Amino acid sequence: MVEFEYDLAIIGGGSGGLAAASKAASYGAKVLIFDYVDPTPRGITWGVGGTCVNVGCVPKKLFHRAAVMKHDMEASAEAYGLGVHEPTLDWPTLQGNVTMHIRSVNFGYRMKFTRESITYKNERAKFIDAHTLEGTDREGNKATYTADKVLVAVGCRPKYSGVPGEKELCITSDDLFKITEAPGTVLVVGASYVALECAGFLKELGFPVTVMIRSIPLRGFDREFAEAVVTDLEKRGILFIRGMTPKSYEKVTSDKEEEPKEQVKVHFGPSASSEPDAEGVFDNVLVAIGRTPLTSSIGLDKVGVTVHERSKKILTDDYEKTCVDNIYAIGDCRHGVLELTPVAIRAGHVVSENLFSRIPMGKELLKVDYKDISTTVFTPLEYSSVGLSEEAAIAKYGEDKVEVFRTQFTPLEHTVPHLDEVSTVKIVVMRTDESIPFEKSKIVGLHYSGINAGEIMQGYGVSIRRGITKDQLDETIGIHPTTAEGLLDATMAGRVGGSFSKTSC
Amino acid sequence: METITVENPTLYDKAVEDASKKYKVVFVLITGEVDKATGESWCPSCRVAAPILKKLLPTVPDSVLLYCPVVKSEYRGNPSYPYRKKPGVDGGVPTLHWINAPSPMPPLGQCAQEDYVAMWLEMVKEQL
Repeated sequence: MVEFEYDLAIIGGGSGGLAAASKAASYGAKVLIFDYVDPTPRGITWGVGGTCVNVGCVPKKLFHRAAVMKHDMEASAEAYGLGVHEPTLDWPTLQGNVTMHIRSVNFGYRMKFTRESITYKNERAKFIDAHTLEGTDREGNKATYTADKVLVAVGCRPKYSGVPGEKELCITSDDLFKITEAPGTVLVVGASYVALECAGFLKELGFPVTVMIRSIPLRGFDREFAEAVVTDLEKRGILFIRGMTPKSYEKVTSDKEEEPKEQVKVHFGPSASSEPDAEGVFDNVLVAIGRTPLTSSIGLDKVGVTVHERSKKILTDDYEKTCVDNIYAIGDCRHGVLELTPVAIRAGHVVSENLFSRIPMGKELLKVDYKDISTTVFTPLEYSSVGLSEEAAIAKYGEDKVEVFRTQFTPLEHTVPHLDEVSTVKIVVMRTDESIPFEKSKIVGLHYSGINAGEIMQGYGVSIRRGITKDQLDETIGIHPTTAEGLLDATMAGRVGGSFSKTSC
Repeated sequence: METITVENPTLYDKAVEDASKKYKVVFVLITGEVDKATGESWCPSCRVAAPILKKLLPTVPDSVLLYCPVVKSEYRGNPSYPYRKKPGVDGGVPTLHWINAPSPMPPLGQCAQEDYVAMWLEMVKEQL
C-alpha cells in the first residue's frame, strides 16, 4: 500500500478550499492547503481566504453599505428630523477600516489552520503527477508533497481584453478595494454584476462614474430587472455608453489643475469595429469584463484532467470528480456552476463528507443541488432572484405554459421623505397542464428589486426550492410593516408590457 | 530589543512619531501598569502575556516596543480614557499594535495566548 504524506491536498485557499479543508480535518483527515496570490499588474496582493474575503463579496458589501448609508443620510435623514449635514466620504478611512477587517479574517483563518491541524503553504502549487504536487514560494524555493486525494479550488481572476495599454493603465476589482487614494473620475468597462455594483457604490460615494457596455447589461439575469438596474444607475447620475468597447488606452497628464496628475485616456468605438471614433479621459479605468479560471498553469494537462473548451474550467461529474480518479474540482474553476461563494462552500463540504466521513456501505454519496440558488446583485437598487428569468422559463417550457405576476410598491420607509424609489416583484409560474390555473401553479422564478433584496430573498429561496405554488405563497400571512411581505401580494398577471400599479400602505 | 516606556498618554503621539523614524516595526503595547510594591501588573492577562511577548517580539527584526502602562483607576470604567480611542484597545488590556504598519494590521487582543501571538507576528513578518 502506498503511503502518502497527506490524505487531501487542496490547491486554493478560497471559499471552496477552506470549507473542504475544515470539513476533512473534522473527520481526522491529514490536510494540506496551498494558497498563493499572483500580484496584480499594480503589485497588489492579499492574504488567505480567496476572492470573496479579500477582493470580492466582503469588501464589496461593505463599500455598498457605506454607499447606502450615505444615500440614506442625504435623501431621507432630514425628513425624519435627523440633522446629518452633507455626509462626505473619507476614502482612506473606509478603505483602511475595511482592510483592517479583511486582515482579521485572514488572521482568523491562519489560527483556524493551526487549531485544526491543517498544513498551510503560501506556495504556488502544480501537479507533477496525480498524487504529487510541487509548491513554489515567493522566493522561488520549491518543495514536493504527496497526497491521496487532490482538490482543485483555484477560482478565477479578472479577465483582460488585451487591447494596448489595458494591463498597464487600468485597474480591476483586484485593485479597487486596495488603493489607498480616492479613485476620482472612473470609467467602468463591463456589464457584469461586478461592473455595475462597483459603478453603483462609487457613484453613491461621490465619484463621477461612466459605464461602457459592449452589448447587454447583466447577461443571464432577467432582462426586465437588468434594464431596471441600469435605469436606476442612470437616474443616480451614471453615464452609460452602450454598444462600445475600448480599443486602446494611453497615459496622459492633466494640465487643468495646479498640480499635474496622471490620467488615462480611452480610445473607444462601436463594439463590432476595431477602430476608435471617440475618446475620454478618466482618473481611473476599472475593467470588469468577466473572470478567467486559473486552470492553465497548474499542470492539469500533465495529469490528464480535462477542461471545457470554451470556459477553460475543469470538467467534473455530479460528485465534483474530474476524469482522474483521485482529483476533484469545485467552485469558480469548475465548469457549469454559478460563481458564488456559498456554492463553492457547499461543494467543498460535500466532497470532504463523501471522502472522509466514512459513509456506510450502500448509502448514497452526497451531491450538491445546483438548482434554484438565490442570488443578489448589490447595486444601489438591489436585485435578488431565485430560479428562472421570465425569458428562460418561456424558452424552457413554452409561452403557453408560463405566466408572470407583478406588483410594485413604495416601501413605508420611503413615504416620509417622499422618495421615488420603489420595490418591484415578479413571480414566474409554470403549469404542466391547462387545467391548472396559473394562480395555483408552481413558482419557477421569483424576482425582487428594491431595498434589502438579499435579506428578503433568502427566506423565499428556501420555499421556492421546495417547489411551492403561487397560491401557497399568497395564503401566507405577511409580517407588517415590511417590504418582504410585498412578495405575497403579486396578483397582476401579464407578460412584459403589463403595467404596474404603485401601492403603499 | 529596545523597550521605550511611554509614562502617560500625553506623551504617546510624540513617542510614536520618534520611534517610527528609527524603526521599521513599532509595536505599541497597551497594558496594565506594574504595581511597584508587588512587581506585577494589576491585570491578570497582562501578567500572562508579559513573558510571551518578551520571548517572541524580539524575533521581529528592526523593531521596538512602546510600553504604554495604564493606571487601573484612570482606565477601568472610563470610556474616554485616551488609549481607548487611539490606538484602541481590542476588548481591553493587553492590546498589541503594529502602529506603523504599511497596510492596516488589526491589533491583537489575545496576547496571553502564545499561538495567537506567534501567528500574529508571523503575519507581521510576512509584510516585511
